Amino acid sequence: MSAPVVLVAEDEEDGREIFGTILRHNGFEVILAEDGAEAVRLATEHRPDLILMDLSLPELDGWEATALLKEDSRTAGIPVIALTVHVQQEDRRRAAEAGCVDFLGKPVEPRTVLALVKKYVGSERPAEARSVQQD
Amino acid sequence: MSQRKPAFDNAEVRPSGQGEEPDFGLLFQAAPGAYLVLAAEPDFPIVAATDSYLSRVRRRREEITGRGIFEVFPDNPNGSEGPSARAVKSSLERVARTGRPHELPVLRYDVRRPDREGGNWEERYWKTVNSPVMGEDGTVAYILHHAEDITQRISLEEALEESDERLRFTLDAAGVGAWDLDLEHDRAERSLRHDEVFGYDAPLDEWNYQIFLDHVHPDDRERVGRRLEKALEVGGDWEFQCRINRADGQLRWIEVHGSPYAYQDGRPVRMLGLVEDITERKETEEALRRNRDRFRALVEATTSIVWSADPAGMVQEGSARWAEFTGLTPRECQGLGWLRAVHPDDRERVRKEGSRAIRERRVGEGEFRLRHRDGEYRYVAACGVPLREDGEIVEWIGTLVDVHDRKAAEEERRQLVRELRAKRNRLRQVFEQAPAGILVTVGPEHRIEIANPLVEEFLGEKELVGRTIREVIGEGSADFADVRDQVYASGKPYVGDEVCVPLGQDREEERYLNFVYQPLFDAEGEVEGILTVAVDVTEQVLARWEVDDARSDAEAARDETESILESISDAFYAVDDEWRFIYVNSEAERLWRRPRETLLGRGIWEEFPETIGSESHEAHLMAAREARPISLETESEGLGRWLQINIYPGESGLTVFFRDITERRKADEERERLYQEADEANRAKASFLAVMSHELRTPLNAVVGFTELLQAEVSGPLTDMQRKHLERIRAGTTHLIQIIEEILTFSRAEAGREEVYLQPVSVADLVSKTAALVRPMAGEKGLAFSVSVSDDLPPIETDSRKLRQILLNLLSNAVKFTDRGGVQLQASDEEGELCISVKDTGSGIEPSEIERIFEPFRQVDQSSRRRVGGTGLGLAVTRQLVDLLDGTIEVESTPGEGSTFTVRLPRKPDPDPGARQPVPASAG
Repeated sequence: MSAPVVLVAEDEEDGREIFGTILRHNGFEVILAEDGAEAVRLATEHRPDLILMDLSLPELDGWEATALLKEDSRTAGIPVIALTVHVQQEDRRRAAEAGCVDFLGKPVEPRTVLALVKKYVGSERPAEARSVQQD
Repeated sequence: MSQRKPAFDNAEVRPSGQGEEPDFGLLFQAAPGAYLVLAAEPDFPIVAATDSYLSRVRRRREEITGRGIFEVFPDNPNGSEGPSARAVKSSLERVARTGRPHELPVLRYDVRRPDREGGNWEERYWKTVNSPVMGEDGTVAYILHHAEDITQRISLEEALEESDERLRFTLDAAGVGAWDLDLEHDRAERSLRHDEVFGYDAPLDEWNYQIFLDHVHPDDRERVGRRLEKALEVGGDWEFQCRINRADGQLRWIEVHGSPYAYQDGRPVRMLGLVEDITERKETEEALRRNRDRFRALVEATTSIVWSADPAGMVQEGSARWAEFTGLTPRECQGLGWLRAVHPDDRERVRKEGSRAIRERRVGEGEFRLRHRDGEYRYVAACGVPLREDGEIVEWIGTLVDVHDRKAAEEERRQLVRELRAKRNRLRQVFEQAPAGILVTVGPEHRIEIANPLVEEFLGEKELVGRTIREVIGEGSADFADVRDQVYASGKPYVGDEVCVPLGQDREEERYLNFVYQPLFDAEGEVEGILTVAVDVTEQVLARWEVDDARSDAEAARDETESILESISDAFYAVDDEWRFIYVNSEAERLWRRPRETLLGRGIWEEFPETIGSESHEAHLMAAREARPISLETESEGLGRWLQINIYPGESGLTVFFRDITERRKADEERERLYQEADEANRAKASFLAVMSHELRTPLNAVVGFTELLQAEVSGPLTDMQRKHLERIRAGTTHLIQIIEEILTFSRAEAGREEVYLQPVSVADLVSKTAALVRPMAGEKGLAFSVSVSDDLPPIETDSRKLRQILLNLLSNAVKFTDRGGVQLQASDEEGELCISVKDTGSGIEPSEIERIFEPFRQVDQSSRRRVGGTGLGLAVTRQLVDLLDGTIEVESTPGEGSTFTVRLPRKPDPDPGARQPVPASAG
């Protein structure tokens, strides 16, 4: 059994580092994308178990990328969690319309992100995770 | 004597009249010439005789009518020539037998004067013609006997033959004067009667031409002279008639015959002649002529259609004038055919009258309309007379006279009479019913001749006629009698207007009368009376007084109005319905810089032509057209000012108030500009906030993230000191984030950028979840924390995030400022609204502070702020959120004992977002 795969689409390097680290540390395989187009390409290619989607992405923004993924039957089933500085209700509504299952506004504590990811994916291999942690 | 007396059986002369048959008997009698009508019977009875005949034979008609001719005129037993009667009788018998006329040779047939004239026989010579008159049976019915008396001629011939004496005798007997004139010596031998003719009782000694000429009437003298001179030149016999003035003064007519019988050198030297007084003959002739004229006039005047019908009333063919009148053919007129020309409405009546006449065997007559050949119906008068023979009607003779013009004239006259009568009635009515007293007095004492009922009413008395004015009105009103005296004396009318008169029986009722006294003049132009017309104008006078009062009231009111119009600060003007200024107040003068004298009476559009086509012009026209008030604000190009104009339509024309609102407009524009600027600033702030939000969150996210990664010892184990310092970073960061969130929320709300999302909300669920977030904090401080939600909360629609924020702020505040006791939340339904109260046992709020706690950056005291932390924006944001949800928030507090914050929210906020617009920052 392989570890659950989470695609983190984030244009800020700090963000990629923080969310990538905490997820890997907790036993998740992490794929990183720096823009929307890349996110769509990697999601299609790797079929991750969950996607953390920043909404203000270059090339293709998060709302558009999510909508494209939802239109593709290969990726439509992947839950997408919005993770963004656009915290207004209007932004939330648009995210829900695009197909996001949940919404996290920045700044956000890493443990909050982890808890929400686990809610959708679960911890398949806590032991392995711990072993990774131990690596 | 036969019983047959048709047509001529009318010996009596009757006056002829229109519409009657012509009187043939009369006509015959009046005919010139000596005629007898004899029945063709053995005795030849005399049926009719002409007047001329009667005069010749010196008989009266009644003496001879019906008697045989020879019985009346027997032979002269002493006659020298054979029996005359036989010759005449033979001629008559011959005519009766042969049916042809017969002329007798000149015959002596002496006539015996009647006994009353002495019964002498007169020697007479006659020229006689007998003519037959045929009856219906073709036999001779009558014989017309014409006897011309040629005695004079015979006598004259005899006189020439016989001796002077004989001649004289004969002439004398005939009443004729003879003369023999010797032209050479101008001397005349005369017979006995000659000088008598000229009015001399006894013969003159001498007679000559000049004497004759002196007797000739001066008017005839010249004619006679010429006639005689011509006779001498031409020669041959001559005769003339002329008037003479007789010696006894009588004016007579004479007839003179002359015949020259001896000549010398071709000119007559002796002339023989007769002179006869023909005055009576002339008169007879004149009468005859008049008679003839009368008959002619009669016939012409009647233009009668003469017709005849058989005993059954069937009109016989050949009544030509019927046809001529009606345009029908003679055949069409036959029988009863003529009836078809009778007007349909009259036809039955005419038929009945005809039947009645035939049935009753007497004259039928009537008037009816008969169609003229030109198509017009004309009134005709018809008359039918039965002709009887032996008592049986043998024929109807009738006439038909066109009486249309007379009828029309009669109708016109009747119409005139009717009109006159109606006019008279109207006049009487006017007189009786006139709203004026009409009184006619006569004489200098003014005796009442006529007084209409109103005069009686005025005076309160009846039976005024015959009394004098002074008697009636008494001395109390002597003025009226004096006025009459004056009018009577001067002959000039007098007019008195609105004279106050005591009227009625007791003269106690004061009335106002208008009087006219009009003198009446007699034929000589002298005043004979006075016509007085009096009209009661009391009501008008009283009404006018009222009107005068009302008018002066109205004038006072108008003055007042004008002073108001002058005093008001608005400019005012009024125009009539032809757009002419009728009022301009001083403010209008000032604004227009025009004195009102240059405007009043002039047309507004002529005086302000630049206005035409403007908004104001349109508004004036519309207000006038639609008769409704119009208000507008407009910029007057002419004045370069903004005006507010109120136009009110009046009964005729418009009244207009206007004022200069340029300053206000400027202020409005300034305010508008400021609003726009503020709006733009708000927009800029919002966009700044959005950017700030994003820009702050990204680095904060890095701080929060990496801090936690360190704390999680992902990158390696930490010392206790490091762990403690990292915890301080985290707390500081959390506080920073809280401050930033509050600032952003507050600013968004301030900028109107905070949006409201309504959805059905379960209050119980929301309350318990929010409470769960705060409960640990309360627990840490050892505070009691209770939540009470009523079971019957209504379902409400609201923005759940904002409601949660409100509750979170209030609960965390309560926990924050409470050190002992507890925090209590209650949610209930209060008159249909959701009511949530948060009660604490904290330090409470001073009354002086309580008004300001919802202002931003306010905390009850700065020390507590430092102690509990917080931005000071919490309650300000809370109130903003409550406002956004259309709710209210209030606080009750007792310092030292605690506070209770109560929020009330409607079941559903007012859908009008404008009502929820946040107040500008300056107002908070």
